[in-house]
Amino acid sequence: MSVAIAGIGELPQGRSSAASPMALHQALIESALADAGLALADVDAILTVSPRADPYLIHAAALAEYLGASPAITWTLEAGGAAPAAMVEVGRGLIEGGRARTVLAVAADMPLGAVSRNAYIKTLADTGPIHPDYERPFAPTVPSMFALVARAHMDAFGTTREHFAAVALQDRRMAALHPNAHFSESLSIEQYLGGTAIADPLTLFDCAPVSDGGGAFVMTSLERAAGLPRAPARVLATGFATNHQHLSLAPSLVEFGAGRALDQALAAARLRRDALDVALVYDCFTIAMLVNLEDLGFIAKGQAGPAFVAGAFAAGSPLPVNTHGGLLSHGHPARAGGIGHLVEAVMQVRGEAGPRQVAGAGVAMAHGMGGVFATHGVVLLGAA
Amino acid sequence: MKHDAPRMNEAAPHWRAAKAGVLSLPRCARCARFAWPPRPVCGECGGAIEWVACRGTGKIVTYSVIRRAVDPALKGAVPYVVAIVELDEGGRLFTNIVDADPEALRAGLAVTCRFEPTLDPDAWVPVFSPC
Repeated sequence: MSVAIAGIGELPQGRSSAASPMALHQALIESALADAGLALADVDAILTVSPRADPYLIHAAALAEYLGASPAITWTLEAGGAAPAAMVEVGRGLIEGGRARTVLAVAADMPLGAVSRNAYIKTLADTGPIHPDYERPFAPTVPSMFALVARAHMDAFGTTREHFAAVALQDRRMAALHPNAHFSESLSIEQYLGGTAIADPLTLFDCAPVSDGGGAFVMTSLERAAGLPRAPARVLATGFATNHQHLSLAPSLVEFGAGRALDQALAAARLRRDALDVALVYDCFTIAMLVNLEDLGFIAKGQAGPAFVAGAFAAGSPLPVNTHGGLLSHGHPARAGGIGHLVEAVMQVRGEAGPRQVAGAGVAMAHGMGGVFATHGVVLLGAA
Repeated sequence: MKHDAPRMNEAAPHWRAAKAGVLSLPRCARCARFAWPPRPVCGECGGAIEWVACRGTGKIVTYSVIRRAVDPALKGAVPYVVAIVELDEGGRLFTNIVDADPEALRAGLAVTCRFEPTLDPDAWVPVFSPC
């Protein structure tokens, strides 16, 4: 591939002071363009996800209108947490195909700021990963869908709450090192175990929070990026896989297709898994981290819990994961979930992650998934 | 719990049969594989699909006791149980487990089907309780 990410923008996740979701988008865009040393007038294509808090017929076109810009391409993508990877792939196609020179991608949402929290969560359950005919009549909540997987994983492999806790605690420790993290105060095992029950076996700290936030990035050709202010984050490859859409119809309840997405990316980049220096893994729930680590092929099926407890993915290990604190602590900005993983991957290969920096990080993997393990996207980034 | 209504599309026979007290599911007439949700032809062998009445016995594959409801209308319903049940005759259904002590549930528990109304007077849904 011959494209790179030349600029990124991110703001503190949590309760935003932005006047509106559009204003939040604008702030992120200004930050990313400034980072890239480019202007809005340079942008040929705008890609967004559709925020739960601010829907339009074509959100990206409404955003361009808000900004006073008129790029030829204004598209809004729908792929759950795999959308950032999809945005990279679409941007690559536009640049390599000669349709665009500068692609601006922004994923942001304001589930706290724009509507009341309970009203937002209710709308998420209405049109989120729950099938309107075959699942919704039985009133599942989003956490309960992941709890079904957690129960199956515990029954099949002996996974325990202590394994889940290790994920929550590590994400929180890493978030403490990130200035934009929604939750960075210390979290103890006692606090984890005392968390409110949500949907057995998952409790409060097994679940990502609801956060205002998001991120933006600017893509251009590698050649052009080399002349811009920041060290380019080379897009080495992307990879995708779709396993199912609705959990009750999935072939397995403990294994889903994330590894196929990574395999596709590694094959395109001509790399093996051991070339990865840092991994950003989609962790909307603690069980998601464990299952995705296994499905991505970083640990044998069923063994992610004990490996996590043993520090196999901690800072200083051969493959640190979620150095930004993950969705669980860095924050989960609703429909924009996953963009933080890509932004952190860029910072890692640039060498700009400060106290979170994985020494010598040359190759970073950002993974995102949509639905309940349904569809996956992976981006491999390389240092300049 | 008042069940939200499913839409009446290709699965309408399933919801209508539930109102009549019958668990009816689509099955391939050629290879006998269950096809849920309904498909025009069998995804495995291409055979024609027929609706068959099932005994309604099965086992819990996995379940979760919901302790916190997000829909204000369901706040009084917690704790309630969602589950995936595998029918003895084949096929899996997403459902509720009712008339059961949540603490006494486990994967593998034998359950049997009954039916409850939804907000659509023509559509009922199958739910399961321990045998």
